[in-house]
Amino acid sequence: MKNVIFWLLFISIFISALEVVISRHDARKLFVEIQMLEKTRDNLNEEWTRLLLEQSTWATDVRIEAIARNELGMKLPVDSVLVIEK
Amino acid sequence: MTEPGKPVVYEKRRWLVLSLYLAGMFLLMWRAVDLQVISKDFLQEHGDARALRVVQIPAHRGMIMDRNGEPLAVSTLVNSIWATPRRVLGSDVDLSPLAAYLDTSVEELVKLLKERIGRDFVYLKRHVNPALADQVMAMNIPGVSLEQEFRRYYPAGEVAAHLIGFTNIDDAGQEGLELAYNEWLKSSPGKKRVLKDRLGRTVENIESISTPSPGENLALSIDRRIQYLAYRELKAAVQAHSARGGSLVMLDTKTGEVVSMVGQPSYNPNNRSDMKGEYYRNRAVTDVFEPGSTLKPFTIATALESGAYTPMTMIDTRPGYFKVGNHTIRDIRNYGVIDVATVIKKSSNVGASKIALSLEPNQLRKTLSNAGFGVATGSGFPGEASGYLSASNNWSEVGLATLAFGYGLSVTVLQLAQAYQIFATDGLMLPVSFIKVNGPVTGKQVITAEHAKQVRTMLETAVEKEGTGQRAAVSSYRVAGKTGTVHKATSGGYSEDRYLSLFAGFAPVEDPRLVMVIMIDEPKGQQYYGGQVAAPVFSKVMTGALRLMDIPPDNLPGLKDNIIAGKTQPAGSLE
Repeated sequence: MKNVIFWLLFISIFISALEVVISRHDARKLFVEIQMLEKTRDNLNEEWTRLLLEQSTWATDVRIEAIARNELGMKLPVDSVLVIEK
Repeated sequence: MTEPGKPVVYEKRRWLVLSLYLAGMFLLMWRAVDLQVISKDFLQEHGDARALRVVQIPAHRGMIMDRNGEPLAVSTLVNSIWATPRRVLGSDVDLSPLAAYLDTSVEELVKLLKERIGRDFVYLKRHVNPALADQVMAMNIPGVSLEQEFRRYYPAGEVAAHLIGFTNIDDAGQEGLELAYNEWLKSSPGKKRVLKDRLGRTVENIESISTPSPGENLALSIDRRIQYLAYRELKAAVQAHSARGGSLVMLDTKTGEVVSMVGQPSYNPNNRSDMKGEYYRNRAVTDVFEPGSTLKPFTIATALESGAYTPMTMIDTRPGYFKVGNHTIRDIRNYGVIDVATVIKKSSNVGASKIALSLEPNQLRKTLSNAGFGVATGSGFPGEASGYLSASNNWSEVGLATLAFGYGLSVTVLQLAQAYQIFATDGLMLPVSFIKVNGPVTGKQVITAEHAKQVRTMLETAVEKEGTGQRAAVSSYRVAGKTGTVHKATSGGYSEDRYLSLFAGFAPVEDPRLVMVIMIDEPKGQQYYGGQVAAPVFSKVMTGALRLMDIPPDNLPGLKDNIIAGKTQPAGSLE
C-alpha cells in the first residue's frame, strides 16, 4: 500500500514539474501574442487618429465655407423664399 | 625483472591520481554550489542588468471633443530620436547626413554628444515626423534609436486656442481646459520587461509589469461650428474697429453649458514658437471690466422686486443730468419723463440712478451678489477672476448712483453672461459648465419669474427700432439685449477716449435658448458705442447659432400669411 502511494506521488511530482514547464512556455507564447495584438491595435489607433486629424483638416469650417460660397455658389436663403412646413 | 602476466601495482600513484580526480570533482561541485546557491542572487542580478530591460509602453492622452464629437485636441504618435553618445562617437560612421536631418552641423552635433558623453540617453530631436524618423533609422548609425511619444494636435487651431489651452512637450496640461482637466485626460504609461541583446534589440518580451492606461476622453459643451462662427465675427469686428482685443461668451440657457467662448487676439496652439504669454490669456474669464449700462437690467430687476416699481412707473429724468454730492450724472440727451421700460430702452443713466437711490441702500448689492457678481462662476477654469463687488453695506450716495449704471464693480464676460441667464430663464441662475451636461440642471431662483419676464420684455424693446441695440436684431427671431459703452478706468480716473463696447443679450425671446455677451476692448475708429460695435456681432453670431442649433423661429409675420406648405400631400389628391 505504502508503495503505491509512493509511486503515485512520485509520478504526480514528475507530471506537475512538466506542467510547470509547459505552462511557462504557454504563458510566454500568449504574452508574445498579446504583444503583437496590442501592437496591431496601437497601429490601428495611430492610423485612426491620423485619419481623424486629416478628416477634420479637410472639414474645417473655413474650407467648407469657402468652397460653399466660392466654388458652389451657395448662399443663405432670405426670408422671402422660405417655405415653412407645418 | 618483471614477470609477464602479473600486473605491477603502484599503490601510491593510484592514490595520487584518484585523489586528484576527487579534488577536481569537489572543486567542480563547490563551484556549482557557489554559482547555484551562494552567489546566485548576485550573479542573477548582474545577468539581468545586462540583458533584461524595463521599457515604457506609451499611452494616449484623452481626446477633447466638442458637443457633437468633433475633435478639438488629439494625441498622435510621433517619434523622438535619441542616442547613446559613447556609442555614436565610438563608431566611424560619417555623421554629416544625420546632422543634416537634424538641422544642425556636424561640429555642433559632436559637441552636444561630447558634453553628454557620460549619459546613456540623450534626445537628439523630439517629435519628428515619421518620414524623417525612417530616414534616420535607415542610416543605421550605432547608438541612435527611436522612442515613441505623443504629440498633441489641435484641429480647431486658434479658434478654440484660449478655451482648450495646450500641453507641454511631456504631455502635461499647461493652460485652459487641458490644465483644468489634466487629471482626467492624462494617461499613465505601462511597463514591461523585455530581453535585449548586446545591440539593444528586443529579443523577447518577458512579462508585463503594468498595463498602460490611456486618458479619458473629454466631451465639451462647445459647438465647434458656432465657435468658428463666433471667432470669425469677433475677429472681423476687432479688426474693423482696430480694437485692442475682445471676447465673446455664449451660454445655453437650459443647461448653463458654454456653447462658445472666443477671444482676440488669439494664437495657433499647434505652433507656439516665439509667442508672447499675453496671447495665452483667456480674456473671457481672466479679464475684468466695469459692465456699465449692461448692468442696468439688474437695477431695474431690483426695483421691480422691491415692489415699489412696475414697468409703467414714471421717472423724471429732466433735464438730462442731476447732481449726487459733487458728482454729476448725465444722459446723452434729455429724455424727459419716461417709464421704467424706457430707462432700459434709451439706457438712461439718470433714470437708473434715481431708481437705485430710491431703493433700500443694500438691495441692489444683494441682487447683484445673488446674480453671481463678485465671486468666480465655479467653472473651474484656470486663472478665473472673481471680479469685484464691494462687500460693504455702507454705500455712499455717489457709489450707489453709479453702481446703478455699472460703475464701481468689475465683472468678467463669463460672469455677465451667467448673470444674464436670470432674465432668459425666468429668474433661475444655472451653474456654468464647459462639459457636456446630461439631464436636468437645478438652478438658484434669483428673482421671481414674473419680474424676469418683465425685464425680458424691456430688453426686447432695447433691440427694436429706436432702441440702443437695434443692430443686434436677428431676422425671423425676437431678440432681447442691452448695449453698454464703458469709459475705461485709467490711473487717476476715467479715460475720455478709451472705451469698452459691450452687448449682452439672448434669443429667442419666446423661449430663450442662447445667452451671449460680447466685449470689444478699445475700438479706435469713429464708432465706439456698444450698439455700433458689439451689437452687429451679436446679430451675426446669433443668426448663425440659432440656425446651427435648430432653434425654431418665433417671429415670422411675413411667412405666416404667405407660404405655408403642407408637410405631405393628402392621400386623395395623388391622382
